[in-house]
This record gives sequence, C-alpha cells and structure tokens, in this order.
Amino acid sequence: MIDLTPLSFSAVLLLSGLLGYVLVSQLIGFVAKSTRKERNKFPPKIPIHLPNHSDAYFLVKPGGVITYSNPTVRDMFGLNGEKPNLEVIAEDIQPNESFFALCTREGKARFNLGDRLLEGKSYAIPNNSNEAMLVSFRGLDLEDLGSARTASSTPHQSQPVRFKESHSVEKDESIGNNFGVKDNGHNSMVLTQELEKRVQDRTQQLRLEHQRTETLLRIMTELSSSLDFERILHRTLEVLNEVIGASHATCMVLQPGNKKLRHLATVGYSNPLPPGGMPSALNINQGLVGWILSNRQSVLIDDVLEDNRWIQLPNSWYHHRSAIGAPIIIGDQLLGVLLLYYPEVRKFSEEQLDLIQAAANQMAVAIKNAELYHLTRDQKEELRALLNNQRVETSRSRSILEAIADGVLVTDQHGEITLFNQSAERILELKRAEVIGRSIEHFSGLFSGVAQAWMDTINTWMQGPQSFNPKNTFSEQVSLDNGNVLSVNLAPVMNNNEFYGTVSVFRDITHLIEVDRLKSEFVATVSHELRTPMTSIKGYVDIMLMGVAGDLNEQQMRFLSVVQQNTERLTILVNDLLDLSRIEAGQVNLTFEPLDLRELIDEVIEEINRLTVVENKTMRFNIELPPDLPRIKGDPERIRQILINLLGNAFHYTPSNGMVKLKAHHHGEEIQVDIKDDGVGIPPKEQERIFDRFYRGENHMVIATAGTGLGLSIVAKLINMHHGRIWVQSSGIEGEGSTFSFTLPVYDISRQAIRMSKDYAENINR
Amino acid sequence: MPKILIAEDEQDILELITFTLQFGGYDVIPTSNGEDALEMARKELPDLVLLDVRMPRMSGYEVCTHVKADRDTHHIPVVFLSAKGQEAEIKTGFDTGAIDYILKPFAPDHLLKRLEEILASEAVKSGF
Repeated sequence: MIDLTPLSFSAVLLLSGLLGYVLVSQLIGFVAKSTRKERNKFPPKIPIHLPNHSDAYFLVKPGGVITYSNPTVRDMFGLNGEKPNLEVIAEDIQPNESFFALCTREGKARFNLGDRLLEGKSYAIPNNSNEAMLVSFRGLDLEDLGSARTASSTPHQSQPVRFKESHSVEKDESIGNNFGVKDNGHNSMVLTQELEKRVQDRTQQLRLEHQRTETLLRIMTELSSSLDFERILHRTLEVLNEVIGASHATCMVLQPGNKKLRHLATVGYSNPLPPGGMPSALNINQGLVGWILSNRQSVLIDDVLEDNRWIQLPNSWYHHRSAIGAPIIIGDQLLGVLLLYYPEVRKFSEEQLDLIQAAANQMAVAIKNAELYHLTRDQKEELRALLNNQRVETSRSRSILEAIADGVLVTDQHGEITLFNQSAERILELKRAEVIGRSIEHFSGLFSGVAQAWMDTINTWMQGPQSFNPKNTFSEQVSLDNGNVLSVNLAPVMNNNEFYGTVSVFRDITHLIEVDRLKSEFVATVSHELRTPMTSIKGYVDIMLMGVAGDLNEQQMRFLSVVQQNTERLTILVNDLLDLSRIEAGQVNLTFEPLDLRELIDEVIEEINRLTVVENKTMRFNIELPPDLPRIKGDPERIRQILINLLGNAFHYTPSNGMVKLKAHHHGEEIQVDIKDDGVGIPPKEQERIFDRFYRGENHMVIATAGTGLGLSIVAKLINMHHGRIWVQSSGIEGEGSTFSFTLPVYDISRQAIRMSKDYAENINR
Repeated sequence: MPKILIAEDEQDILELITFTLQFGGYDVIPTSNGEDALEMARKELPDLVLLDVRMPRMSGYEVCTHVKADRDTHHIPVVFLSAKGQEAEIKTGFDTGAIDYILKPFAPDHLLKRLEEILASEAVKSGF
C-alpha cells in the first residue's frame, strides 16, 4: 500500500536500509519506499511500460545508486547523445550523504535529494532548455507501481518559467529555494505553497485516473479472458472489489421478459451462487436497485441506513453501510445493476463513481457478448436437434417404406425415381440399381404398353401439376407381361400447391384374382349343379299339375302343389344366395339410367296382383305419387327387384283384405319412398336385425310364409349401391303394420353426363 | 307344324322338354350332344333350335356359333335353355347369336309361351 506519510526519503532509506524507487516525471516524481516485505525483492520488477513512458523514471538503490532509468530521463535532462549514465551521476552522491544532489552542472542534470525534499512537495528544477519544471516526489510501493499506478503529464508544463542567467544553481543550496525572485522571499514562499497544493491535487487526480485506467484494463482483460461467463464476471467483481476497497459486490441482470433481477455473480458473500445465478429478493422497481434502473444513474451512498432508497432485507446476514453502484447499460438497453458495499459508512468516494460506471459499461458489453454467444449456441443446438430429428424421421420413414409388403416407387418433381423399395424389386422383378436415379420414361420402357397408363399419368402430373388437386388418385389394375396383375395406386405428392413428385404403391394381386376367379367358378358351378336337378323336379311337377300327364285326383293335386311351392322356394333361395354372394363379392355392376318410378311401380303392382289371384288373397294397393316426381337414377332391374321384395313382403305379411300404401315424395336430391302395410308389424328389438341375412323374426305368420330371409338383406345392399338409405318404422303391434322407407338419388342431367362417362370408363377398365 | 331341335345332355330334362314341346304341338328333334345337334340342324333345318350350354363334345355356344355362321342355317332362331345363370354366361349366349336365354329351372307353360312368341315374330320377319 501507498504510504502517504510525509517522511523524508533519506529517513526512509536509513530506516529501512533497503531500497528505494524514485520516479521523476516531467513534473512529478515518485519516491518509492518499500516495506520489510520486499527485503529480498531487489531489483524490483520493472513495470513493462516504463521504458516508453513519457514520464521519467529511475530507480535508486539504497545508498543512492541509480540502477535503472528510462529513456525519458535522458531526454528530459539533456543527457542525450552522451550515452549518459545516471549511475555515473549517482556516483557523485556520496553514500553517506543524506540526500541526492539535484542540480544542473555543466549542462547535466543532477539530483539533490535531502531532508528538505519531502514527499508531496514540489520543486522547480531547470531542464535542459533552462526552463523551470515542477518536480515532486512520492513514495510508492513497488508492487503497486507494477500493477496499478502510473503517472501522466500535467498542464503545468505549459507555464515555463525562465531561469535568470545570473542565477547559478551552484550558488544555491537547493533548487526549491532558487525559484522565484530572490529579493522577495515571501512571495516566493507563497507561490511555492500554492504550487505545492496544486501539484498535490493534481497528483491525487492523476492517482485516481491511474487507478481507474489500470482497473479497467484489468477488468477488460478479465472479461475477455474466457467464455465461462459467470466465472469471469465473478473474477471481474473480485478485481473491482479489491480496487474500490469494497467488501461485497454483486452483478444483477434483468431476466428477459420478467420483472425480476438475478444475481449473476457476487463477491464477499458466504454462499457461492448456484450455476445460472440466483433470483433477487427485490423487484426491478424496488429499493436502491430500482432507483438505479429507473434513473439510469450511478449512485454513491455514504450510509444506506440513512437513505430512503435503501430497503433493508429482513434476515439479511450482511450489514452494508456504504454503497456504490451503477446501471449496466448498453445503448438504450438496461441489462442490470452493479453494486458494491462496505460495512462501514463513507467508504467510497465520488471519484470512484466513474470507475464503477466504466466497469459497468465493460460488463454490459461482456453480458451482451455472452447473450449473443448463448443465442448462437442455443440456435446451433436447436438446429442440430432439428436436423437430427429430421434425419431420424427420414430414416424411419424410409425404413417403413422399405419394410412394407407393397411395392413403393417415388418420383421427384422431375420424374426421376428416388425410391424403389425391396417389395418393388420383387414385384416388378427389377433391380433397384436399374431404376434409381433414372427418369420415369426410362422406367416405362421396361414394360410393354400395359403399364403405359400408369406412366402416362405420372408424366401428365409432372408436366401440369397445377391442374390436379391433391385428392386426385390413379387406381388401376395393371397386367404385366409375365401374366402377373398389379393393383396400382398412384398419387401426386402435393403440399401447399407445390408439386413434389408422385408416389406409386402397388401390390401383386395375381393370386387374389385367381382366388376371385375360383370363387366365381365355384358359384357358377354350384348354381348350375343346383339348377339342373331342380329343373327336372319343377318341370315334371308343373307338367303333372297342368294335367298333361293325365288326370290327378284332388289329393294328388294338393300334394304336388306342396312340392311345387317348395321347389319355387328352393329356386328363389338359390337365386338369392347367388345374388347375395355376387353383390358381396362386388361382382354386380349397376347400369344407371334415368327411371320413371311410376312405371316401375305399376309393373311391380301388376305382378303382385297376379299373386293375389294365385294365392287367393285379396289386398288393396294405394299408390300416391306426386305428379311432378322427378326421375330417379338407378339400375332398372335392381330397382324392380327392390320394389318386388318390399311390396311382396307387405303383401305376404298383411292378412287378407288388408291395405298396402305406397307414397313417394321428393326433397332435395333424393326421392323417398314409403311402403306401409297394416300387417303383423316388427317388434323394435327385431328391427335392427331384419336386414341381416336369414333373419326372419319370430312372428308365426312370417315363419309360415315361404321365404329365405335374404330378401331384405339384398334390398339393403342394392339400395346402398344406389347411394340410398333404407330404414323401418313399426310399433311392433299386430295390425299397426310397418313402414319401410328408402331413398334413391334424383337423376341430374347436368351431373349425369360426367358420371356416365366415368362409369363407362370404369366398365371399360374392368 | 313347326320343327324344333333340342340339344340336352341330361336325359331326364331332354325327355321333359320333348314332352312339353310335343304337348305344345311342335315337331321335336331331340339330340343329346352338341355335335349331333349341329349335324341335325344342318340336315333338318328346324324352325328353332333350343340348346343347353354345357354339353359333351360341343358346347351350346359352339353349336350356336356354327349355326349362325352357316349360310343355310344362320336364319334359324337359337334359344338357350341353361342352368348357367352368370351374367357373363348369358352375355356369351347372346354374343354367339342367340335370340333368347331362358334359365333353368323353367316353368313348362312359360317355355311354351316364349317359344310361341319367338316363332311368331320370326314368321313376321320372314314374311309368312
């Protein structure tokens, strides 16, 4: 530490018997003295910047031997060109002399240090231009000199005082007494004192400036030393704490988007901060911190307990009294607060405010840099994660595509094949290497014309992707040259109207087609084999009943009628079964055309009326059709089948002399037909099953009537194929009957043209 | 008396048809396979040929095709009477040139009525 007590240099030298360090600046000299600690540290480490410093420095060993001087000394005191050696000059000083001689002798600077040359005092000495220079000396701790203290020039230099020619320095005992007008001793004295005071003030100023610069240099060095941000912030606070002489220091930063502050680094507190810091107990608008933030000003408080801005936190272990702090600001942006404390009052000075603010500014830069670094690092991590996810996702998708049993072929927007999975290799009997990266045109060349439609579609989509909506798909069966049949589904890959390519998924359905063929063959065979014996049974029974083979008695007639009816029933059953199996196998193709419901109903009623004769059962039919009923869209044979089934049921399950009503009405794009009977009805619990195969309910009358239990099932399926709906309403009470309702689409000419051509195309393809 | 050629490999059914048609007043030429039927058709030039589809030696389709291909017989109406009821089978029957396709089992009176209609319309066509 600097010892500011005004001891004479010689006394120090004598007392300590060690070493001294003399700084001579152009105007200011420091006389360094050391304590016992430095006993064995001679020569002291020369501050690296001394050789080029504009101030003059020289180092004096105990006994007055100058062991070092920087070039400024030679420049200042006219020792240029003579290869002057201050050591030589120093030799002039006798070891037992209690002072340096400081004078000019033969144009050379000589130094006279003695009892009268005390610290803090200023002396005028002539330089080589014979101008007066103010010189003062200071004791300086060597270690401090090396780290934090430096001196600089002062404006005094601009006020040279010419020495009079007559004044021979040799005549004067000391330079100090030579200054001024010899005749006026008093004036000289006053001037000297005033100058001394000014130099003292200036010295203090410079000392602070020096301290400030050095501290900032250290802080900047610390702040830029490493990327471990919290650690360097902590280290910076340590430096600041030491320089300012504070006991505690904290650096608080604002949380983004938050009303809270966070201690990011602290010094002097017993508990170390956790990584990432610790939230402050105060909000950003509270206490001293709040004041600094809202005023954006540094602050110095001699005693916090006397300051109303201070909020003493309960349970705080620390008893701060002095406080000094500054906002951490960069540009307009508040980043946080820097605060230092001391447990005694009036520890800090106004002069330190600048240093604190400067340090805070440096911290702001560092915090900003760290933020940027974190931002960059986070973004990098995010991107890496994203990329990684994408990579995982892509490889997963690819694995799935590779693994599935269907062949997958993907082309990009230029028609180049980018994916061709294992199943595709197997199904198309092509090696991946033959197709990957090739254009789809090349690929189509590997097939004969049968695959042409497939390839053509891809080409069309490629050339005019805008004309397709993403729902468009291509679904065809493609026969290969080797006899295999593929089911191909092709779709464009679109996203936001951008065309990325196409994906074809195909499956070898050769065996399915074979199975289908076998099934059809089986159905055909069964159908044929059942019908052949029934032909004989029915034919011969009919002939006998016709009386062609001779007269029959009444009983024979009755018995043969039973055979006939059951043969009929068997025939219907076989026909229905075959019908149903064909509908379920999708083998029934409807031929849609505009149909007049009225005509169809009339025909069916006529047919059923014949039944009334055959079965000798009277039944009234009440048909109500609006005159403007539009035509429906349907397959005439199938609509007739539907009507026969429903009206037949109504006839059969209504007792004799009953009434069957048929009403139709048109709403929207549908025509609804209601067929109401007043027969046995259907109990609610049976209603949901009546469209099931072979379900006939439990009513005795129904069971007694010949039927297969397949009719409603077929009707429901046929109506469904017509895009209609069917349902039943019945109270289940005998005599209240049931109402079967179904809907069929209205034939719309404008739309029909399109559909017809599509249906036609579908039929052609089949 | 109109002459009708029948081809039916099932003996029971051949007899049933023969009986029915004779009852209906037709002159009946019964055969039990396709080859015989084609031969008799060329030889006898019947007014109508009633063919089963599935028969030994030559199917009904083939017989019909030949009848329709032969200048001497192509005018003779051919009717199929078959247990083969698949849409495709019926369509093939009409494609070979048949004028009707009646499904087994059949009602004898319905068969007679149908044949009568066909012969009547053929008579109109040929100007009788």
